[in-house]
Amino acid sequence: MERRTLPGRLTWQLGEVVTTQPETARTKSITLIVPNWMGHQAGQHVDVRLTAADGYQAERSYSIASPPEEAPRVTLTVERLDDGEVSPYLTEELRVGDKLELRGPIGGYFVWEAQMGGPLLLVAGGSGIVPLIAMLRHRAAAGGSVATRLLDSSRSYADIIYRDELDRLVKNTTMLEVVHTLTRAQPPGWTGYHRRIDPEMLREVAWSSDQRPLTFICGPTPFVETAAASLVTLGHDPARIKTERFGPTGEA
Amino acid sequence: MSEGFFSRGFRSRRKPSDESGRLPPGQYLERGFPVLSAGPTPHTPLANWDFSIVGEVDQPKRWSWDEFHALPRETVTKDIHCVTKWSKFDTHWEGVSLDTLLAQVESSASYVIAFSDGGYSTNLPLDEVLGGQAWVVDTYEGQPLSPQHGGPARLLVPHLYFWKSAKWVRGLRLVAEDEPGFWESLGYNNHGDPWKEERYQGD
Amino acid sequence: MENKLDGNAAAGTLQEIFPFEMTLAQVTCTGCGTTNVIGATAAYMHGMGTIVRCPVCDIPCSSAWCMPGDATGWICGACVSSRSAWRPRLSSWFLCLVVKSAKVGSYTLSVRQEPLKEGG
Repeated sequence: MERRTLPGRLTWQLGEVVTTQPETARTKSITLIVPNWMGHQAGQHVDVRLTAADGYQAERSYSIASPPEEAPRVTLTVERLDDGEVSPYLTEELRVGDKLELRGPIGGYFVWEAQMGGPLLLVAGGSGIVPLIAMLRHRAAAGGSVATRLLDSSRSYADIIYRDELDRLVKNTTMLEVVHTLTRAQPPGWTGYHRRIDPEMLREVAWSSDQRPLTFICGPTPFVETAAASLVTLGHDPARIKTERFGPTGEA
Repeated sequence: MSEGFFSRGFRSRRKPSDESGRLPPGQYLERGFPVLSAGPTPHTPLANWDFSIVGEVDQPKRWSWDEFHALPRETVTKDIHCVTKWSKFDTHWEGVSLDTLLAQVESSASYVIAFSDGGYSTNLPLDEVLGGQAWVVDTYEGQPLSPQHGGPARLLVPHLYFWKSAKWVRGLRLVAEDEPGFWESLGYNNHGDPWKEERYQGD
Repeated sequence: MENKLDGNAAAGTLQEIFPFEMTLAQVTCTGCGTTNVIGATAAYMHGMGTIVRCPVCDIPCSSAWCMPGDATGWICGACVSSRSAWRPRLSSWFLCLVVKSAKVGSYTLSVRQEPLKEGG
């Protein structure tokens, strides 16, 4: 049945895969051209829908990794979950030239634009880095001077998504600090944090509360709740802390 | 809309059609046991747990966990059907029949509202929870029922869609007039017979 | 494991029903009095629907139900319904929606017109 579309309503549209790029052993970035893409803000996500030949459908949400400056190219970074239904398809089956059904951009709450200023505190758990890298890429494209700190939690050095790019961003922009914590395994000689985030780590890494940072926390639900609660305990204003929970498994 | 579009290489989770006729219309066979929760999982200590029958009864009745366990128990093996289209065959449960529990009260009510920790509720006609059609179960596949699946105890009414098998059940309220429960108030069918595909209001 | 997310995850579903961005809509919980934007609420999403709850006291505030494959839904209270042949009863951009769940508390959802900016 044909559905009338009111302005502003989300509709499903087809993007075409133009590149796929492994990021880590478990994650892959997929870049699509979406012909009717209206643009987006860093932090927004899309809903992706897969349809099998018998009509069966599965739907998931994925944060947009690419900055608004790259529209109509839209990049998603997907972590493959062993028991997932959609992520194995996206990371292992989807090929250049395939079409992918998506709707978006979605979300007006968890967004950052350069004009919103800072200082900016970004806290990422695993694949929670994805919407935050969109913010960092946008920051760089906008001239990259907003004072920013990223605390990035990963299982191991090899699991750090966008690791080289983060190093480059630190080198090539000003006022950006990136702190990693590796929670399960560390390379020889590692002198950084090697535990899950906690109030003590946030106290050492975060801006002080009197600097009133804008804070964005993204990752699995328990990670987000720990980080947010810790920051509030440290005196940060809850109204300036925005969170995006990816659920128990880390898949958005 | 992308009419007729399908994703190259994406395989359906639906299993081939069921020969035995045990699958209700629109359902597929699921090997796992999905958890669907509408809120945080309650964790009620057994020392605080009780099961009550209240409402239009001569005398409200209450059982503590130990008293509940002293009642005659049954082992049941049933197929279950979720309105989200998955079904599981031959699930094994242990618990107390609602026939046993409701035999302890006198009532002229026609409906029961099952109520749960966390605020969940669901409504059923009284004659659909009697006659060996419903249980309060605390054991699944030989193990104590886990909180995420409704433990310490949940309702089991397998002839209806599984949202009627209220997790974290704490009692039944007997009423003369039917009242829609949680999902029934949100657009789901008041009755929920999978064989008639009574999924949503108006079905 | 609970399928607890937040209002951001419900944004797509909500935006299918309402013709504008909902994650910034404010909701006041009459259970505990906290006001939050929908993006900050707790959202439990699965095949039966999306329950959006007060993040402080976890009282449910609304439900958008979507039938898989059909991308339709409604909000409880039947003030808005956009399933298949029905038209949404949104005659104006300003919507005041009272969502009541008799047993577990009430929400008042007031939405100001926030037209989508050019470019999303």
